[in-house]
Amino acid sequence: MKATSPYSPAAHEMALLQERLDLLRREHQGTLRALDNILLERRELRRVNAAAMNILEDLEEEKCRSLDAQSALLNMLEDIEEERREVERTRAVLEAVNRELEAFSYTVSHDLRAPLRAISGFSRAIVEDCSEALDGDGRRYLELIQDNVHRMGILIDGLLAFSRIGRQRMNTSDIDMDAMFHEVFHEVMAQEPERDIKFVHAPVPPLNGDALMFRQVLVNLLSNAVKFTRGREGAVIEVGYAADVEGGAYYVRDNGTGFDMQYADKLFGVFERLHLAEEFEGNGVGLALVERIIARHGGRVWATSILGEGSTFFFTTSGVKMA
Amino acid sequence: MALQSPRILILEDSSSDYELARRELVQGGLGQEIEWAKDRGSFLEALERTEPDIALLDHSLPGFDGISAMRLLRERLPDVPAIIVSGAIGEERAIETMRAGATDYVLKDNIERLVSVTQRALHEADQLRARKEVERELQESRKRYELLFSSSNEGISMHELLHDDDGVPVDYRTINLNPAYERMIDLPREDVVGTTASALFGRPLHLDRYRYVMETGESVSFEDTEIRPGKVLLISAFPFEPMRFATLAVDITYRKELETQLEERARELARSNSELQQFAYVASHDLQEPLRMVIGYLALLQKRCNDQLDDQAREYVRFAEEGAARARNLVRDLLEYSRVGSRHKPLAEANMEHLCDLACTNLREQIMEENAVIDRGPLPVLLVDEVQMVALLQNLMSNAIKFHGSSPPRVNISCREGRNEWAFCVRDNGIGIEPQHQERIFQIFQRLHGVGEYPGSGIGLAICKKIVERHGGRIWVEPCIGGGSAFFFTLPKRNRS
Amino acid sequence: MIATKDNEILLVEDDSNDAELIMRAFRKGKLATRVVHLRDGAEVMDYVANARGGRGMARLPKVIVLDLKLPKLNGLEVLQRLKSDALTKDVPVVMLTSSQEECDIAKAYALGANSYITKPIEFDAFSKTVTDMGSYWLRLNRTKRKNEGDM
Repeated sequence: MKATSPYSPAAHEMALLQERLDLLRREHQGTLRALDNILLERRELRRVNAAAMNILEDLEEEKCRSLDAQSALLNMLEDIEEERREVERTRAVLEAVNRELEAFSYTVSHDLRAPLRAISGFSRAIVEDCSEALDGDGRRYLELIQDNVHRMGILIDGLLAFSRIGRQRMNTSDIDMDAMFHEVFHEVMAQEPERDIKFVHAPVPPLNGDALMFRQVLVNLLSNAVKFTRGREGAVIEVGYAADVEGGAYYVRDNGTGFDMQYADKLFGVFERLHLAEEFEGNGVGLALVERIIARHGGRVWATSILGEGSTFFFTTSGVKMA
Repeated sequence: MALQSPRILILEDSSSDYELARRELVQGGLGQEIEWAKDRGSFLEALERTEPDIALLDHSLPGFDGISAMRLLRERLPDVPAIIVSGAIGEERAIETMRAGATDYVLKDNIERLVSVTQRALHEADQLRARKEVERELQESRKRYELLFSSSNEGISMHELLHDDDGVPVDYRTINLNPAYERMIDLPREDVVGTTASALFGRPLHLDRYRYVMETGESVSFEDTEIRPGKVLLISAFPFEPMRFATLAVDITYRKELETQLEERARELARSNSELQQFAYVASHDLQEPLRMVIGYLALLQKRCNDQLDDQAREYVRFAEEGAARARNLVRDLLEYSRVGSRHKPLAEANMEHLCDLACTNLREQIMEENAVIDRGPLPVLLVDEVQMVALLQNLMSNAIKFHGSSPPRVNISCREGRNEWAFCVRDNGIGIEPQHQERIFQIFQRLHGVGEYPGSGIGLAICKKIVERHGGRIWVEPCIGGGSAFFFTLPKRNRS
Repeated sequence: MIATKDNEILLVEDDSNDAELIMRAFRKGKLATRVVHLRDGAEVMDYVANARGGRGMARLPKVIVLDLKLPKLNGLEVLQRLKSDALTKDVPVVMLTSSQEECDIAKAYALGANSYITKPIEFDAFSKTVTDMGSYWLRLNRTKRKNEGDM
């Protein structure tokens, strides 16, 4: 270009052009900046999107886990089902065994009793009809025959009662044990009116259980106490509740002959014979019955004794109602 | 994928500008499918005809502009990215264009940027599509999850592990729970969410287990009785998020009761079983002596006092003696029954033929009386309890002889070999057993006939069943075609080890 | 002990020893002019059916002593038939059972049995109970008949 003066028309045009270009450039920059800002916003959005994608992945995992949890649950449910079936099977087997026992007991009571009844009945009849004709020996034989039948009868009855206790359904209710101890003691004493026994009765808590069964327990324990004190001057029978023994236990104490502690664990065995049992006319099943009943009530029964001084029988149960 | 050969729609009225753009795209590897629209009309038509993956829009054309084009594009294909290509544009317009939804812009001065911008836009569009897909799946998964969460019978809860200043976990806070869990813990939601375990239960229950879960990443299951006294819950805990674990709770109180009942029943079962044995044993054992005495005294009475008795008394003595004999047989059978279960003799090899012959010998009186004929086929050598086997065979044969009809009894004993067992058969030509009684007869004391008709206490077959079962076999009866019964019993084959 | 000309006791018992002893007890108690002894359940219905002919009620027994366990037709079934037949439903029935198994006794009462006696092993008590039972029902029946006769 030729040298121009600043004020020549070409220079002026140049300057204008330059200005225009600058302006344009400035506008352009502004636009570019605005556009960049928008892009930045977009990029920000993209970053947020990416973060969202991560969250999505986590949620995906969550979904998988919940599916895992679902299948774990199904497995658990299947196990529960299987267990329920197992319970049913055992129940069925138990029922079968119980039926066998029932048939057994039922038939024993029928098939064994019948011939025994015949023996007893006919020997009786012979005694009645031929009493003058019979000599001493004959009468003695017939008496012995009847005694033996009597023995067998008691044994059979005891065994049947024991078996029945194991099979019977329990009817539970709240039992006033104070009242029951009282009643049973008087019942037992009514059988032995000539005996003079002091009855010491400390208050006992009520319990929840089968009333008939507990009545049997008290009858057996109190009858035993009465028997053990036979021949004892100043016989005393104490009943009460010892709160500090094994979390709380009812007791029946007597000051009778007691028993040798060596045999303590045999006392409640079903078919253990202690000399005591026969000596005191029992059939050996009474205490076994007590043990059975207490066991069915979730408790325990045991006894301590000092030979010649007395015995104490304790029992616990899971249904004691503390006031 | 669209990125490979995307369909590109270019809206541009200037052919030179179009050429420039096209060249860039071809060079950039994106030139496979380029569509050129010069004006509104052809733009619309191109939109209808093809679905472009991306649109490059000139900012302003005669009678048309990029923004309007974009709007049209958005109406039809909302997800397709649009790139504004412009010469110099006013700042305001440019911003307006971007705000209107253009994905990006390229200045014609900087046309080299076109390819990278296009690719990026396409990529973003893909991602957007993918994201929308995932979002949709997520929505559905969310819905399913919500449903599972809220309607599930199992209690679901999420918790956050809390640490002390040394970073040791000391407690946890519940952040979510479902209605089922609310029911299980018997607390309203508002009281639980955001509350720590210490605040709810007095102490952080099972914290050690949850720590284990978080540390190892393994899930654990355990039974809990403390969350809600009276209920037993089976809880599974598993890690859920960093510092967070989830638990699934199932109320198994009922199942626990069943288990306790089951245990109780099992104990009763064991007790009942042994009681049956003992019962039979004692009844028989303790009854034997008194019975012996009775029989003895009755005999004495008869011997010594016979002349003292009148006819009726003598008859009575006879009745009593018969009763005593019956009782004694019953007691003896009971004793045998109880012994079957209780004796644990080791099994020994025995020849069943010898045992069968032995049983016959024991029965010779009965055989002679009834004119019975017994024959047997070959029988194997097996591991058995000899005494019980003889008793078994003797019982079966005795029955076969006893229950005869009008013709003399014929009894046949045979055996068949199976894969895992031997099947024995004792067949007779007697009166047979009606189908309805065929199972009953093996039960103890089931007598089908009156006492007078056929003697016997009714224990025999029950004893047989017990013996067979103790050996691991089965016993049953089938009628014979010509009349009579066939008693079958199996004995499993045992290894001689 | 009151015995009238037409007192008849029907005893249904299949065990011959028990029957012998029970009839002995009746004899000793001089309860009845006639004791009819049947051995199975089916025979009872036949006997009662025949008793209806011609002479009407006169030939029905005054008391039926019925054993639970009988061949052919068991005691409970006989009881049910007796109590559902218009003619026989008013005849008192005393069940004989050999055990105290409650379900049997409950069932018997449900079917209309008037009373029951358990057959114990030892006989004296049994003997007394049987005679007491028998005379009670005989007297009761007689009173009822007399009242009905007055109407």
